[in-house]
Amino acid sequence: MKPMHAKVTPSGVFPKRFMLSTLRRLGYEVGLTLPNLVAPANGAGGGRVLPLRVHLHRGGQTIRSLDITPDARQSHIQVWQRQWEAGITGDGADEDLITAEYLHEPADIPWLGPVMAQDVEGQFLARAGENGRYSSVLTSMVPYRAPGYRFTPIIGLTHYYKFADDLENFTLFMNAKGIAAGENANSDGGNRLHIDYYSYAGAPLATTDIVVPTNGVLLHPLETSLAALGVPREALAGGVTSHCRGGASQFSIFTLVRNRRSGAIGIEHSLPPYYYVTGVTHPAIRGPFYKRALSGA
Amino acid sequence: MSAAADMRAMLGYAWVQAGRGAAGLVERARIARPKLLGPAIRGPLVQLYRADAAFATDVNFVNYLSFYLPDEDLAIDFKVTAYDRQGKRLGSGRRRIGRHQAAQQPLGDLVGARLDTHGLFTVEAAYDADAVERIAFLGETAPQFMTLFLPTAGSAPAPQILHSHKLFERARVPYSPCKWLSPNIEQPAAVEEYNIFVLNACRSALSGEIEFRGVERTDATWRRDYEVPAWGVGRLDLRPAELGLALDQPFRITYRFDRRTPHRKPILFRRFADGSMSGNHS
Repeated sequence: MKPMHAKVTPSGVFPKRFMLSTLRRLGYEVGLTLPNLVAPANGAGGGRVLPLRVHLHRGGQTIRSLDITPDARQSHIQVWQRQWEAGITGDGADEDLITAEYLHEPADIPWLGPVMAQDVEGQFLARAGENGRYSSVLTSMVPYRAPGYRFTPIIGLTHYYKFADDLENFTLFMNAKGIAAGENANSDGGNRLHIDYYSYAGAPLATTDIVVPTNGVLLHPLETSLAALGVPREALAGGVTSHCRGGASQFSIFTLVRNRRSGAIGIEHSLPPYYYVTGVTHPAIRGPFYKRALSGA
Repeated sequence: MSAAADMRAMLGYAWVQAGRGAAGLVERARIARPKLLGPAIRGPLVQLYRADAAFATDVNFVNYLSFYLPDEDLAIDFKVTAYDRQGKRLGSGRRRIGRHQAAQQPLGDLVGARLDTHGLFTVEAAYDADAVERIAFLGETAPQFMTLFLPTAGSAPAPQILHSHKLFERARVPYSPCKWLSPNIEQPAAVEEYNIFVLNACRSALSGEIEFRGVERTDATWRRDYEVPAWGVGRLDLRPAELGLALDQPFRITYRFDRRTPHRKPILFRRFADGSMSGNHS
């Protein structure tokens, strides 16, 4: 077996984006924070801060790309929904997907390549109005794949819902990837995810397939979805695990719990298999792992 | 920093690196010879608990092995241990999770002890001997869990959910100063009070500084020193309105540590005017 932690020398700049979703349906304005990336003072373009491009994807279409040049003296840039929505009328039928990327020039590649090869963390914020309560979750920028990229199907395991009369649970699915001109990004089944629900006792509760549109979002209400699948409310009290498999795209999954009376939320990102099987990126483990993990999906 | 302190820090970094290298070798040996040396299971993993007027703590486990290997009938034995804020061990308990099962349970029930108002708890996993060889092809596994901070019944917050991938260190960690500029940027104008919990997941006392600084106008800066006993948790309450700073801007948080304790992303809770609270690792 090859070394488990081989060093890779990055070449070029690995394309990554920060992903978040609007949460209008829950009464929140969302925002993002990313670190300002500044060219080293002694290199080409020294001291220049990289502009940030924020994309607003609605109904699978990119309806706005907002370029922002941050203040190089500041450590971070924060952008709110009201900024990328300014001048746009209507809300769209569903939640919007928002992606953000750093813009760079060829001269930035020598210093930016290694930076983007590392983990670049940002903040997904949701606030109940300016100076209202807010929730925050830190998450990494994710690879943004060009058209034609062959994705590995995802495996999602969410088991940390909380059921009570005054609470409601959501699974937030996001899906982002590059689309070629004229491509029908929703035709190949790559957006379909198969979900098996289990009780905490390990008994199957229900099975369903969902579709998360390319460059779109699905805010999936757990209680009503399970009721529609014939799972009685009293069966939820003991706990529910959602085992989600399939798809061929860049998905990002979050769990939200909402207090119905106050509207306050709790939010956390999901843990991909890497967290549980730390060597899963190694080719000798990856192939057998995914073959078995996806069997029957 | 003086030359003596520089040298001390350099030796400390070298010691930490050497320790990591040795741990990596042990892990590789376990991956190569799981039957002989035991399975390569990452841990113990560590997280904060609260058992105070605002929150109780539930721990949530899932049998990840059986969801990743649907054709196997595998159980996982989780071991949970809790400590008080001074780092004193309070109790420990086990919970077996069978195929496709999960569990969510109050931490105090799991460890069979009365909890402090806050502290650390750890999670470890063990697999049945007959399963070790069957899952050896996975290499190292990690008993990830979720922590649910459950608000007092009838109150405004929603449960706050946190994962952990940080390790509990049974050994001492030498002087090896470091800092963490959190990507978590705060809106203090909206917050009545912050509760910041600094976790010290190693066997040496930890000290350092928390800095709260305006992103736009950096003269708006507040600093406070802290000290946390070995395996303990320090709590710092901060009311932004009382700091006398220009709060009409985002603020960043920098943590300084005098040693590389494994968990260097303090857990931060906010209380708002409507009584709701939110929290995340910072």
